[in-house]
Amino acid sequence: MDEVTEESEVKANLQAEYKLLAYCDKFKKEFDAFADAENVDIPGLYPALSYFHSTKYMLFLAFYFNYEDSILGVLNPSVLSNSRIVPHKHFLATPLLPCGPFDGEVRKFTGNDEIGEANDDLTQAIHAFVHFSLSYSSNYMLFCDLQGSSFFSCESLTAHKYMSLGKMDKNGTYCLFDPQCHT
Amino acid sequence: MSKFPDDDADGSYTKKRKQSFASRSTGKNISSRQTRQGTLTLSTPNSPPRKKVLRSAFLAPTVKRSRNPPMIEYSFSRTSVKFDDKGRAKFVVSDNVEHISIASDWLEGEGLFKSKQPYDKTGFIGEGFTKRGIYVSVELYHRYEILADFLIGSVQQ
Repeated sequence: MDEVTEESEVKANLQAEYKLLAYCDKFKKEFDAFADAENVDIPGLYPALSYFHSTKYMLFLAFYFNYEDSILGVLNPSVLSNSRIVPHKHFLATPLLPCGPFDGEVRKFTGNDEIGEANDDLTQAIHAFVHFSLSYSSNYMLFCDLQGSSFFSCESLTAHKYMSLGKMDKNGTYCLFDPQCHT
Repeated sequence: MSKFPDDDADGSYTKKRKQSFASRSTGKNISSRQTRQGTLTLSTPNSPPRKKVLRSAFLAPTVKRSRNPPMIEYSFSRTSVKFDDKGRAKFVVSDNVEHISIASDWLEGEGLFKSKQPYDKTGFIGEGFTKRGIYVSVELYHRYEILADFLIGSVQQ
């Protein structure tokens, strides 16, 4: 998009992105609850298994979406509004994942047009989630382009919350971000 | 004797039942007592004294921000998503005014990025097809948290 992009178009795009992130988070919770109720042994366990008092938490936190502390907002007009340093007043803020030269690389679990191979436990768990979401949404939503990083910031609130469940190290879970969806 | 603890006016039934369960669980002679608040505490008469747990007094410094670019504060209104009974998402705009600090040097960082120079000290995070990542911070639950801001569009030059 360029500088002539209308504010209304920016708002619509960011709302769509935020809504999709909310759906992913919602479906992930339903996925966890369903697996818990059915006693399904989901693959994709944390390496830090022994740190958990209960395996119940460990099983279903192997990945999550970068939604909970995200913010969809609009900057309010103020005295400084004439010197606003950003091009548009609508924004979407998400917890910052470490992205320095020594941090882990982003890993893709599904593509846009093909699901890809599932040769490890975590990928199989994410593919199971995609299948569950398609079924749960009555074949309406097929999540794709699922990607994430295992290195999340210890300073983020989300990380703090997850770490409070046990002595998990910072590499214990995958944070998925910027998902896409076929409808 | 009634089998219902509610009818157990003097607490004897509850006491015996709890004692019996605790004895079976541990295999030890465990005494029990009812406190004034009604909670049951257990103690073994010959239990060894607890080991003193040593803790380091070192307090690790809390790093609140991974970058330190110049920031300008703005106020904003938040929009959240609520799901109805049928799973449909609705947007709800909050009346509360919150504050967000946005890195003011992100344009310089973008210039460095395009010229393939180090830009990780600036407020520019990165860019994709439709978005830019700009460093911001927001106070969440009385703590300043680091967030990446995704803003669509570019700035008038």
